[in-house]
Amino acid sequence: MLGKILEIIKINIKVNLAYAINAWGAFFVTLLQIFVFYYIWMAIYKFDSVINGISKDQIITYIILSRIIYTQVTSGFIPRIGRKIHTGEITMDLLKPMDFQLFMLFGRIGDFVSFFAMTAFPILIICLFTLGMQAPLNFATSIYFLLSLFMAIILSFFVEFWIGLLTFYTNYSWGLQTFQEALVSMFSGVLIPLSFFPGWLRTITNLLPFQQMSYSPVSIYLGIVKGSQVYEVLGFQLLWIVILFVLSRLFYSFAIKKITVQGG
Amino acid sequence: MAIIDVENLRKEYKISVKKEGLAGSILSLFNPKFEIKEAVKGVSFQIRKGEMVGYIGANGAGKSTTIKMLTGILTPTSGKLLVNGLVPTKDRIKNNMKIGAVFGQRTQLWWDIPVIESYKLIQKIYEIPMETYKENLEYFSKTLGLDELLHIPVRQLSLGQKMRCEIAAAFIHNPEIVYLDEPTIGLDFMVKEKIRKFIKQLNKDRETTVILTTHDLQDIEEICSRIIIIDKGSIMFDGDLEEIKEEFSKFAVANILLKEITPELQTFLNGKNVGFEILSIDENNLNIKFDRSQITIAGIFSNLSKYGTILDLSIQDVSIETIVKTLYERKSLGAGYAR
Repeated sequence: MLGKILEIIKINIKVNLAYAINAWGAFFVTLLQIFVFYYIWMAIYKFDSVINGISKDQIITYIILSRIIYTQVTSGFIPRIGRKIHTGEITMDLLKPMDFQLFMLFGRIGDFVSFFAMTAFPILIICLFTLGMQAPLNFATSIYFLLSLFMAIILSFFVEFWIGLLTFYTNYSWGLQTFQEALVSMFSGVLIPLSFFPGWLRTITNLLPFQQMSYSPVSIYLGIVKGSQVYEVLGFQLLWIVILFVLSRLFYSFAIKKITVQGG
Repeated sequence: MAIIDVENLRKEYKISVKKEGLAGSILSLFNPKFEIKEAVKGVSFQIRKGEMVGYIGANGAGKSTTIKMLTGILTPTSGKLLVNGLVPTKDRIKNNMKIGAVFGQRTQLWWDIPVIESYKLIQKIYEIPMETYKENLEYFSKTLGLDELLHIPVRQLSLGQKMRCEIAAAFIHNPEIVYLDEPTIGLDFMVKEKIRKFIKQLNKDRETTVILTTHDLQDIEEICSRIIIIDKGSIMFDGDLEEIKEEFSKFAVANILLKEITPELQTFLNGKNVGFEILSIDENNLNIKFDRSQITIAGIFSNLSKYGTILDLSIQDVSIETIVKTLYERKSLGAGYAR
């Protein structure tokens, strides 16, 4: 099984490498966005050095990390699933001796690995030296951060997969992608740190999975959560993965039945 | 024992019916109407291991729907369907391990990367032993001429090159059954030849069962030993190809080039009891089919000579195309009488 998983991850990395131009695009766009956000937040922090418990140094690191994550979780995985369903390409996937959802999950991990190596890592290096991004507090924090980031990607996969399957009903995936981008922007904390939200809105975000996609790993990195709280955050992410896995699985078996009845 | 066992297999689709025009489109948003279309109406057949079956029929006759049900991509509406003793839609992964498929308009190769990368993935997910994989790859490369193609990204391959790679991908895990849905569509003669030879060879060497749908009856003639003809969702004919050829061997087709078609000749041709069936008249070219036990070519020749000058004459055995056409006509004639 491990051999299969690695091969699926590998082939997706190869596809990403075949589109190196695309990676460069993501690299420049993300970098540009980081600079724009940097100047906006510098204006906000002009007169205060700490707002809502987040210092100026922390906010810089916050926007850098959350912009990178945003680029990754909105990288177009929904249209990729959508296209398979809409064009009937899924036919060939259903002929593989492997579960379609798992196959896509490992593909998603391959995408993430390529993104990390070709886009995220160079951006982080640049930002460390130019914008004054904080280095991780210590070794343990960076391990927890990476773990949390990985779970964020898995979690966002299940959201993407679920939304992608809706293409079967809408016949069109672009709108679904925009819908997901809006939800992520609003509730994951990529636009504004969640600690800036009023109490009631914070309650809503706590009930949704989106903050697990960005706010959780970033707050671990920044030390906003520390000590045993870290385990709590990681535990919550895991819980959400389980919930979304079960939900998306149920929806998947329902949808695949429909697809195989109606003809892909 | 039959490797594929199909009994009274049916498939209905629900199709949404929209009224014409903008108003109709809006109306059907609120009040969607559906129509049930019966694509396959209770077909039954058994296929034994190692058989090569041609599954033929006109566009929309239900060929692809049947193949899709056999592969487990479509769930049948009702009926029994067992492949290797498994229900394909229920035991999807187990079933997929043992089958290969080529759908003419789709690809299982990864578009943006060299062909060999797709094969490597196939080797892993089908759990092909490394030795078998290497052996097959070498063998397939030789017979299908893949050597110079393996390191080219799929999107840069021509249709024929791509199809050769696709066929190899369908066979590389030594599947027990291979479904080929129009594998030679749009290919040139040389490539078709290569693919046919390859399929025949593998069937001989490995007893691979092959189910083939095609519009190119030459494929059927060269590859298949048995044909199933489907028309409007029902099986019209199921039998041995040689047998049916035998049955039709008393028929022959003649191509006669006349100097001109005179009015007298026209009247003769229009009349009954000419002793042959006119397939087509194209300018001065007369194409006929006749029963050798009823009339000799000399008889036809002398009859026609009375009304005009014959410039050229050629006789062939009935081609598979004519056979299929005749079977179709018989069927529709039969249906006409039944009414």
